[in-house]
Order: sequence, then structure tokens, then C-alpha cells
Amino acid sequence: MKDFTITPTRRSFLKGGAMAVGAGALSASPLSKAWAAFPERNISILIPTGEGGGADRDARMFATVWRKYLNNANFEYSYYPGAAGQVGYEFYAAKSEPDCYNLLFGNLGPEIIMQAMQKPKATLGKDFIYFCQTTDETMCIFVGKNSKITSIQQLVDEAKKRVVTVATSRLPHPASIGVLALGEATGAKFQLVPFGGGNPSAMAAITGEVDCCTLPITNAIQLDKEVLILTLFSKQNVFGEMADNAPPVNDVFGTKIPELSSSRGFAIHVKAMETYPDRFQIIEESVKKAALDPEYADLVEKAGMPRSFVRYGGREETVAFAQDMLALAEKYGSLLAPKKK
Amino acid sequence: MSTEAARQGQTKKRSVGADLVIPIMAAGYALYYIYTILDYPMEAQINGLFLGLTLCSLVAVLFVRVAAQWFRGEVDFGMHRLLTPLSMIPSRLIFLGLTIAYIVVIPWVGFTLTTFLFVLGSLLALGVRSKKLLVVMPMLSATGGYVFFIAMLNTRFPKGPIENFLAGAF
Amino acid sequence: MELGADTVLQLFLHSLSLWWIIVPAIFIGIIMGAIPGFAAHNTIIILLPLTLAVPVEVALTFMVALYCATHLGGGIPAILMNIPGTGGAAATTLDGHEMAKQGKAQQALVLAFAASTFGGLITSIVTLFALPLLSKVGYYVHSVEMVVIMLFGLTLIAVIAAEDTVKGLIAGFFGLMLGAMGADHVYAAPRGTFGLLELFDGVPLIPALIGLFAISEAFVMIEQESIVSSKGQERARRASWADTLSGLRIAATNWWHIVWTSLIGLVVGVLPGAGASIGAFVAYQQSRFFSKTPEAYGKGYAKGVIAPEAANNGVTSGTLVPLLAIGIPGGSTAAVMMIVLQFHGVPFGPRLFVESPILAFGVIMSMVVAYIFMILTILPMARYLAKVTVVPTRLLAPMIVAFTLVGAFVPRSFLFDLGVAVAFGIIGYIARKTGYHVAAILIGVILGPLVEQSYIRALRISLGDPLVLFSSTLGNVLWVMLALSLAMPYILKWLRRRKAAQAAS
Repeated sequence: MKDFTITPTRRSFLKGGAMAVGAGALSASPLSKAWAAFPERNISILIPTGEGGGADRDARMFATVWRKYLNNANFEYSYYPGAAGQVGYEFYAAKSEPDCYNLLFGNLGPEIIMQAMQKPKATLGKDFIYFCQTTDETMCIFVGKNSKITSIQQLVDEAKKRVVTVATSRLPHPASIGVLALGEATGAKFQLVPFGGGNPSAMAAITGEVDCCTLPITNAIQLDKEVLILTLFSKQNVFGEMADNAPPVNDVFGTKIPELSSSRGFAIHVKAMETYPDRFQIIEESVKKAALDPEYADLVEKAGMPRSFVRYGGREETVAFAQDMLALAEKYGSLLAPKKK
Repeated sequence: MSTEAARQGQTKKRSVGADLVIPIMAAGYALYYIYTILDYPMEAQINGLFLGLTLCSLVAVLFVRVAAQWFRGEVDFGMHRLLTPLSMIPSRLIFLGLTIAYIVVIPWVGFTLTTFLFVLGSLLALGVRSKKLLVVMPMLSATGGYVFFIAMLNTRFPKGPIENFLAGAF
Repeated sequence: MELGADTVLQLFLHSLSLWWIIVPAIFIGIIMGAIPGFAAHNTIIILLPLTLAVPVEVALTFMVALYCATHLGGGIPAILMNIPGTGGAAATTLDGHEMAKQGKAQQALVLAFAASTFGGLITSIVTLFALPLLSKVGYYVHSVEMVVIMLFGLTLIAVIAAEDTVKGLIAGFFGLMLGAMGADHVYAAPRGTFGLLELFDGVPLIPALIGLFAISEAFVMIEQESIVSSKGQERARRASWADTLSGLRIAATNWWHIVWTSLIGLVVGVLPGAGASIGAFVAYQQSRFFSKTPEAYGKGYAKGVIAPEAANNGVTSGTLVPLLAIGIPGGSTAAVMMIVLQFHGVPFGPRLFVESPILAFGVIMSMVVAYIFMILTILPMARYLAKVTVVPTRLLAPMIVAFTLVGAFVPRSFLFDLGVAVAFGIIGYIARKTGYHVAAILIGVILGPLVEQSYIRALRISLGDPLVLFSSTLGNVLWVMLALSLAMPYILKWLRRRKAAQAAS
């Protein structure tokens, strides 16, 4: 039977992270001359969410630039949505070959929280490791354009009088944590309603089924005038007008809610890193080149997202992000777990 | 009742044993399902409990109905409905065996060769004896399937010797 | 941009000039739609490198034409072999295949083609002119209303159960129970999955459909020489162009039926999360409800083919509405289309109409043009396609099993799903042989999880109040209609009996 408590997975995770960094140091020495030929066939990218979603879009967008630095490789995509990403991670760990030809492109924020909450068999640090992030975006709260609510202050005041409903793609998600933390800090009452994805969640807010919605900010920016962004879970609003000049949440309420963001990035089997350090080195270096290539930022901008969405992070930075996320999951996990009968 | 009429009554008995297979499977699954959700919060339980209990009640109604019919001597528990026509049992079983073999073998032998062997075997099992058909149909399905699914659409069907050979050749 | 006669003509001619991409898209769509396992979204994903390489307008036209054609294609095997090519064609099997068994496969195909294309044509024209209005539907239909709409589809189980209510309901609830398998929508807690990760996300729909319909059909069909009953053999062999014409005539006399059932599809399509299968089930149910001869349904009745086919193509027009009007894709196919738009740097939602109106209206117009091409290309093929029904079953059955098992693999690329198809094949075979309707099981598997999802959302929004289901005016109107549609057959029967009794006395 499943239970909903969080067991500290940080230690095992940290151990894995240290090992990953070690493996990287090992791989820095040129072990083989044959590595220049990598990859000889298509690279498979597993996406733990559905086709047509944000991760799918970003993976494909990134790959168009990445292939330049990766021997003109071609990419194959497969989708394993389900149980907040758990299905995809378990499949990646158990069923795909650890040979550096199989990578996972995930949503680091929500999926690390999922790992803490749902304890899948595939363990971060032991079975797989995130080795880079390509993008990063803050969480926000927004309302549909027809909503009577026009500011975060107003929303919180309302939520002190009655329970305010908030659409979210899923409970184990940094955006959900943000809303619950805001409720805890201000005494406002929020009810999270999981809609299973960014698109249906936004739709619920736009059509007025729920009072507001919480999602990563690019979802809201792309919806342009259809929505009004009320607040951001970041230190400052670097998007300005694009994000409706919404104030950061802590500036309004003087609270100390941690910054909440989600990165997208690649994960790889730990075993693949150890067995094929030469291949892994090529992957890691080429990802970095592609992520820092202005062509990638151009593509992102062309697709209607802010340029600042692109934020490369290497292995250490990504490991640190994952640690922060695990700490958050531990702190706020009890708010997301169901009340026992 | 005369013996003649009694005999007639007996021959008219309907066999309902086979009719109980689906309800037993359904109720079995419902009970297993309910067992798996016992510790869950209400929102994860409500649907399963409603469906499972309704399903079990429906199955109970059917069992009561069948029991009443059995008491009245109208039915027996034969499996005729499932098995008839009896003459088809061997070919049906071979066809089923081949279908199961298809999914067991395909990861190793690959899509093209497995399809060829499966179609050939099934045609033989179902009584096709025309040599022309036995050559043309398996060939057509295997090559057509390869060209359409693998060469054109690049779907990730399991690859075997033929796919590897063709991939090397081109 | 004003949609005056001039603009409409200009748009039409412009879309017409893209015939060279529409025609291949139609053929690919029909073929892929007819193979269970392939649907518009995974075909478009497979062909994504192509659509990303060509200009955005060509790419969109190609995707839209292909999307419309898949729903037409799905009806072909549903009629000929009792195997729906897509979930949206499952309701077509109820009467379409019955017609085929009677040797009237050609008429059934012509009816399906006519209903699909005219239904699609009408709904795409309505969408062209009423897009802003249609986009408002989503503002009124929320989780509560969705629950009731899906219950309309579920009541089909009761209709199918008419012959033996208890057995019919057991089949339906067994389907619902199997559909409830998988992680719950709030806490992702696995339920009834036998501990198998492959079932974590619920019963995979396509393998279940393939098993229940295709595999079990292959095993049942080998008990007879051909799909067509001995009585229908002669008729099927004699089939000629006259049958195509007669099919067209039947379709023409039912033009109003095509119109309103396709509009049901359109409205269902606009709703987020609802798809072709819900549209088709609801349309079939409504068609039967308003019929003077409800008892004729399920026995090879023309309207029983028209309703689901017109509706599933109506859905295709509807699913584009939220993407175009708001910027949110209503289904997986629209989501993949959105990726293509984003790659090309084209905005979507209302901005598309401001910044590239020709492209925005052009998307809908290319649907109109695609349907016109479709009727011209597919109609003459009905006569030849119908010949499948007289092919000896010992040749057909192995091909069906081989190719549909492959189809079970396509959506998720799990070899496990081949096993799911065979398991459902065995369930389907036992069900067919012992008088449990496989369509009732499938309706449960398809609609069950969707109803639960909407219900749980409604429950959370209402803070756990189960009476939330009766909290909206529109929802209550729908409830009354639902209750009426369930009670009406009994009321009519009672009235008729009373009339007869009065006449006798």
C-alpha cells in the first residue's frame, strides 16, 4: 500500500550527486579516441509528460540547436505521462538502455517534488541524475481577464473571507507549494484543484470555473491579454509589462516565501555516466554549447516566450537546484499530502 | 408429466455456465480493486467504491436469477455457448497459441519475420491449403508492414535480423 | 478582418490552391485513421519533421486536412470488420457493422462518408462564422456540466442492455471498473493496477479497443465463412454503383439528421478534454432518443451510422476553437498543432486573428476545402472497399490480428500493450460468445475515467459537497434532459399499451 509521507531521500540523493560529480571528473580525462564518433545513431529523449506539452515543445526546440554540436544527431521522442511523471521516470530507469543514447527531459521542479512525495522505484542520484538545466521559470498566480479580482492583495483578502479555488496542474508542484505557503503565511484559505496539465488549468481560470490559477510564468505570458498575472514567486519581476508588472509575493505581504521556480533539463542514467564517460562528456559539453548559443534564445523568443526563460545550469547548479527542491518538498509536503481518514 | 415430456424438458435446458465467466471476472476484479484502495483518502476511493459495489450487486442479482432458474430445472451449468462450434476448438486454440507466440517472439525475431511466420502459421491452422495464398499473403503482409510501418513511418517496432539486415543494406 | 463575401471567396480560392498538400493529407489521414493505433496526433508527431520544414501555412493546412480525414478513416474498419479505427468510431460499429453483415456494407460506407464529410463541412462553416460565439461555450460548461454530458454517453450502456438489462449493466460496469484502473487524479495513488507500472496511467485505451473489438472479432469470425451472413452474401456480391447512389439517397433524405448530430459533435469538441468518442456516443444516444423507431437502432439502421460519423467530424472542427479563440489547445491534436505554430514563431489565440488573419481563418477554410476534396476522392472507393466483407474469414482473421496487434504497440511503444490487447481480446471473445456486449464494456473503459476526473474536480471546487452536481442551472437542465431520455422509452411503451388497451376495450 502506498503511504503519503515523505521519507528523507536527501542523503541518498546527495551521495548520488557527489558520485555524479566524481564521475564527471573522471570523464574529463580523454579515455578513448573512439568517442569522437558519438553518437552513431539517433538519441532517444523520454518525456515524462504528454505530447504537445511544455516539455515536449522545449525538448524539440532545444534539439534543433543541439544537433549542431552533436555530430548532427537526430532525436526520437517518446512520451510516458502518468502519476505526475512517475511513470516516465520508472520507465526510464528500468526499461531504457543505460548507454548515453537514452536521455530524459523533465520538469525538474514538479518531478523532484513527485519523487519526494510518491517515492518511485527510480531513485534520483542512484538510478539517474539531472546533469543540466536549459531553462528556468518562476511560478506565478493569475486570473482570467473577466475576473473581478485585479490584485494579489484583493485575492488574499477574498481568501480570508471564503475559500478561494486555485487551478494547478498537479499537487506535487512548486506552484502548488507557493499557493499553500502563501495561505499559511497570510491566513488565507486556498483550495487547490488539480487539472492535470498547464492548458486545462489555465482554461479553468479563464472560463471562471475556479477563482485563479497557479502555473509557471511562461504559460501565463503566452496567454497574453486572456489573463492577468497577479504575483510572482520570485525576488523581482524581470518581465515587467509582459508579466503585467505584477509584484513579487514577498514584496506585497512582507512574507518569507522561498523563491519558487521550475527548471527543465536533461537527466541520464548514473550507470551510463559511469560506463561511458567519454560519451557523457560529449553530451554534457554539447548541451552547454547549445544552451549558450544565441540561436537557441532566438528560437525561444520567436515562440513567444521571454529570452530570460533560457538559463543554462551545469551539473553542480542543477544538483543544487534539486537539493533546494527536495528541501521544499520536505518542508511543505505535509500540506500536499491528504488528511488521513 | 410423461417421460416423453420430461425428456423434452431436459433437452430444452439452457446451458448458462459460460454466462457466469464474465460476471465472475468482473466481481473478482471489483473486489481486488476495492482491496487496493482501502487505505486511500476519500477522493481516491469514492469512484471505485461506488462502481465496485454496484457491480457486485448486479452480479449478485444475476447469480440469484440463475440459481432460481436452476432450482426450477430450466438451466444447467454447461459451457456450450463458449465452446461451440466444437469442431473449431483445435484451430481456435492453435490460432490463440500463435497469437500469444507472436507477442512472445516479436522482441527477438523482429516485426517483419514474426508477421510472416504468424500469418503463414495462422493460415495453415485455419485450413488454407492453396500454395499460392500461403506464399503470397505472408509475403505481402510482411513486406507491406515493413515498408509502411518501419521504412516510411519509422515507428519503433521491435527489430530483428531482417530489419537489421535491411538497415545495413540501405 | 471583416468576413464579407469577398474575403470568404478569397480565402476559399486560397485554400483551394493548396490542393496539392490537401489531397495527400487526406489519403494519409484516411489510411492512418483506418488502422487502429494510429490517430491524428501520433501521425502528426511522426510527420513533424516534415511539417516543421515547410511554410507554416502549408503545414497547418496539411495537419488540418489529415486530422479531418482520420475521423472519416476510422469508420471504415468499424463498418467492414467491426473494428473501430479510432475511439470516435466505436459507436459506428453498432449499426454500421450490422449493415455490413446484411450485405449492405457499401451503403453503410457511403452513409458514413456522406455524414462525415457533410457533417464536417457544415461544422467548419459554422466555426468560420461563429467562432467567437462558440468559444463562449467553454465559459458555461464546467466540470459539473461535463459530468452530465458524459453520463449521456454512458446511458448508451442502458440502451445496449435493453435485451438483458442485468447482463448489459454488468458489461457496462465491468468496463467502468476497468476504466477506473490507474493512479487517482489528486494524489496519484495507484488503484487496481496489479502492481504493474504499465497500468499506472490507467488501461491503455487503444490496446483495450483493439482487444475488445479486433482480436475477439477475429476469433469469432473464423466460425463463419465470411463476415456477411449467408442471406447477405448474394446481395454483397451483386453490389454495384447503384448501391453507392442508394446510400447517397438515404444520406440526402437524412440531411437534417446529419446537421444536428454534427452540431452536437461541434459543441462537444469545443469543450476542453472532451473528444470524438464522447461526441459520437452522445450523438448516437440523442439520435436514438429523438427517433420514432428507437428499437431499430443496433440492427443496421442508417441513422445509427449517420449520427456518430457526423458527430466525430463535428468534433474535429470544435477542437480547434479553443486554440484559435483563446490560445489553449482543446485536445492532443490541437496541442501538437500549437507546437508547430510556436516553432514557426506564429502567435496563437486572439493574436493570430489580429496579426495573421489570413492564416487564422485559413485554418478553418482549409477544413472546408478538405471536406470537399474528401467526398470527391472517397465516395467512389466505397464500392471496392465493401468487397472486404466477402473475403473468406480464414484469410482476414490472421491479417486482422497481425496488424491490429501492431497498432496496439504504436501509441506507447510498449510490448506490454500487445499483451493488454490479447487479454482484452480474450475478455471480448468470452463476452461476445456469452451475450455481453463489447461496446458496453468499451464505453465504460473510455468514459469512466473522464467522468471520475470531472466529478473529483467538481467535488474539490465545492469543498467536498456532493450536491455540487446539482448546483448549476445549465447542469440541472441537462440532468432533466438526461432523466427524460432514460424514462422516455418506458413512458412511450406505457402510453402505447394504454392506447392499445383502450382500443381493445
